[in-house]
Amino acid sequence: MRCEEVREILPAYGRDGDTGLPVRRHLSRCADCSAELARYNSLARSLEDLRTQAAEPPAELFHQLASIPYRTSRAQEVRTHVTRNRNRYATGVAVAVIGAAGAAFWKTRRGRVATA
Amino acid sequence: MRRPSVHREGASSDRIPAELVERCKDGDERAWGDLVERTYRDVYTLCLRISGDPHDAAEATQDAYLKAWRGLKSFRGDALFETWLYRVASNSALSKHRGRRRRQSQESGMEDEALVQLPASGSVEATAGARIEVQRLEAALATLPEQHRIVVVLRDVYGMSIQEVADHLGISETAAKVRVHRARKRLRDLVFEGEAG
Repeated sequence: MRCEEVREILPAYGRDGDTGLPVRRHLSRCADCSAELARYNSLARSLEDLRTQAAEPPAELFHQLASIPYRTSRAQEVRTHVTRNRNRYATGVAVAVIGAAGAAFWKTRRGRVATA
Repeated sequence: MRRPSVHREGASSDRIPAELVERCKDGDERAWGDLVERTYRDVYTLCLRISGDPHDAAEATQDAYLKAWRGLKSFRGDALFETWLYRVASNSALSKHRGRRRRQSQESGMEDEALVQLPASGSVEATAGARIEVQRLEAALATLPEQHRIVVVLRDVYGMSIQEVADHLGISETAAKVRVHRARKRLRDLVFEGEAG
């Protein structure tokens, strides 16, 4: 195999790609390609190590996450309450609307009578 | 550019006990707090590496834990809890990232801002075969085009299989393999710039 062919294989060598005999044979003889493989291996190990390197999250994030059970249960309670009492709420809103309309009508009528 | 400020090591080496997960499934809020404490820095970091934006990363982390809390019952323990949580988190981060990309054109300086939040120090040997300095690697990752950065983060940092990467991104396995391959070559050029090859 030629160096150019081997170089094409190296990014995946030993991980997602070809580790066949021709490549291994070339690597055992070619110092440049071996050095190139060492660079990729170094890169792979260093990338793996990044997994244990954590950034510091915003200060408030922990409390936002820790309170998820409380927040979701409160939201669920509210949803359940509204669903169970849907008819009562609808009746209340209807009564309020009718009352407001009646009051407005009465006020308008009274104004006209006073003017006459 | 400001120097990255925070560095924390070794968080991922702690396994989450199955008993703790079971207590969370039973609705134990204290156990949930413990679970969050043990995992949220790593989950946030994963989201930050995918999205490249601290604000999006925080939102994606919240989405991920909300989904995790709601979906805990479906976690059967076939895989490690952390692996399951990472999958949920990377999905959240990817959808958040896609949403942002739709909303706005690329803002200059976004990568630098993300880099500021990432760890500062680490191993310092940089010759072929040795470990690469963390800051140098993070800087190179941040310079990669986002398509390349995301596949390298999923495959090489978090150890997802090519199949999982393909599923996450909604592309074929072959396309995922090609993308990972190109991303590694590009990253190699960035990290070992000026060296033979």
